[in-house]
Parts: sequence; C-alpha cells; structure tokens
Amino acid sequence: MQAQQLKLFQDITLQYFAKLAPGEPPAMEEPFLQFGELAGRDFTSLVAIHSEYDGYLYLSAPRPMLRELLAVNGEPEVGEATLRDMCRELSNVLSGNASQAFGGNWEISVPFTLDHEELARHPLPPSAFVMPFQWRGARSLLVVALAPPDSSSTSIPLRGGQDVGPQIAARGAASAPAAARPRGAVVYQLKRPLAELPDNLRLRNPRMGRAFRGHRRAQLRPDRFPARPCARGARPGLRPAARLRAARRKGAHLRRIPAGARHLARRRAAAAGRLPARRPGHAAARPAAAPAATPRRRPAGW
Amino acid sequence: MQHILARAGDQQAGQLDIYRVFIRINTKLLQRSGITTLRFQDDRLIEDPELQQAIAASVEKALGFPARPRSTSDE
Repeated sequence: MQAQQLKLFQDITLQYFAKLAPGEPPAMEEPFLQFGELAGRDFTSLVAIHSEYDGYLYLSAPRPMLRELLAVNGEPEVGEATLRDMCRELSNVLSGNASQAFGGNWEISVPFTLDHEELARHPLPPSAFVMPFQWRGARSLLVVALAPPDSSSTSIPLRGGQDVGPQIAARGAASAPAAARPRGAVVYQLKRPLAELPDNLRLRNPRMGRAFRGHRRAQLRPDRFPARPCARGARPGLRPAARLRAARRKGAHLRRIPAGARHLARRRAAAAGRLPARRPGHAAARPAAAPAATPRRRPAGW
Repeated sequence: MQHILARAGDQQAGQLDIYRVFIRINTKLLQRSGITTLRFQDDRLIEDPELQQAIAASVEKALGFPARPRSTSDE
C-alpha cells in the first residue's frame, strides 16, 4: 500500500461528505494506531481487500451521523432499517473509493455492513490504522486494518485463527477446490440472509423488487433456488409493457385465453346452438340432492 | 517513530511506514507493555527486551534500515 493511495482514499472519502454539505466539510483528526479491540461506532461499512496485505477498509459511523446523512438525502423516515440502508450506501461509496484508490493489483470485495454487536463478533486483523474525523458534530472512524504479510495469502487471518467471511457465492466458483483457484482469487459465499441484498438489487417498486430478487437468487444459487418459469415467458425484472411485448414475441397470447373471453365464447356458442355437451362432473349434469328426511334440530341444551 | 518520520520525508508516508513496522509485531507483546493505542506524537519508553528486539527486527525487515538506538544526546 502506497502512501499516495491511502491519501487518495482518505481524500475521496472525505469529499463525499464535503459534497453533501458544501458549507460543512469534515474535519480530519490526528490518526493513530490501534492494537487489539477497536471501539467501533453504531454501524460499520466494510470492504475486504487483498494484495500484498490482506485486511479491511471500514468506516464506522454513529447514529447521529447516519441521521444527518438521511436528512441531507431527503429521507424523512429515521429508523433502524433506514439507518442500515444509509450504512449500506456508505459501504458502496467506500467500495467505489477503494477501487478508485487501490485499483490495480488490489482486489476489493463486495461491501457489507455490520452493527455494533456484529462488528464485535466479526474477526478483524489485530492492528489498525485509524483516521478519525468529525462531520456535523459526529465523530466517525475511517480505518485500514491489515494483517501481517507473513500470514496466509489467500485468506484474511484472524485473532481466533479461523477463516474469514464475508463472501457471496458466485455460480460454480464456491464448489471449485481451493487448490484449483488462482492465487489471490476472491471467492464469495452467501452467508447472510437473502433479505439483506445490496442496494443495487433493490428497486423502487417493492413488487418488482421481489420478482427481481427471486430472479437474482436463482442466478446466484441455482442449486438451491431453481429458476421458476415465468408464466408470460419473459424475465420478471421487466416493466409491464416490456414484459407483454416479450410475451407476445414468444406467442404467449396465442396459448392463453383470458377467463372472461372464455366465458363470452361459451355464451356465444350456446346462443348459436353449438355448445358442446356438458362434462359428466358438471353441476347441471348431477341429479338434484334429495330433501332431508327429518328437519334439523338443535341439540339439547342450546 | 521520529526517526522513521524523518527518513520518510512525507508525514503520511512516514505514518504508513510506522504502521508497516507495527503490523509485524505480535500485539500481545505490545499489550503486555501497556500499548493498545499509539499516537504518532507519543513518546514511550519500552523496557521489555523482547519487544525492543521485535521492533528493531520489524524496522529492519519492513523498511530496510536498522532502527536507530536512542542516545543520551537526545535527552
């Protein structure tokens, strides 16, 4: 890691906040080194990096800062879900900044977010370069945590010695043995609920979002979630007009007749005397039910 | 740390070099000497010989020059 790369990463991360509030740029404090547990803030946005060093870049922000970010972005609702969404947005920003600053021989993972308890449980490298900054009265931490270079080169070593998450399964990549993967390859395995998908998979219309998530789920894990055939023969992520056009191209309108049109066709056929015979199970073909022999009575005691 | 910062020329490059040195040191050694947070302007006296050797070896391995021992003229 070069000093200019770290400086660039720091600058473009701070510029994100400066652009949101031009009159209130963030104030950088003196950096320091932390060995052992670092007191993280309420929500943390992380990106795993891999090159000559393995480690994480993360931004740990308190709730007041996330509330300010929501206010700047015009989000009226402030709750756990929206705070977490804002943290996910920050993790996407962090990922983009890391790719811009460290792109080249550094591999950047998919970003993910953790709250305070999850961060305490998540294994991180034992030493960290911490760059605190203040924005709108809230103090956040921009951290570079790297593991010693003598440790395993394909995984991020932990304090506990286990192999680290976060990973999202690529199709077929997770099943490849570790020896077959090229050195430095980053393999992602889905270890979190599918409900927590990145922002770019969530669409404005929740119905479209559900359909798209199901489609995306079938793409990511075809062994667990086989793709269901769409009734209209088109991809579920399309808008209704585009979906209809795609279905017409496939001839779906020739195979299906709406129920109302079927009923209308029967009435026209009945009027013209061309109605086919009723099927044996039809209600009109069954004999009328015989009346009950004795009238029904309420049981004693009612 | 001042020696490393002076050799680097740039403050941020020097801070990163210091981080590269301390990455290689076992954090248990540091925590045993009471070092959990280290600011670059701190002035600490390390009495643990094991930690002293680890720091000297890490400086030489990470930066390629020997750690300069502190002389009485620096007092």
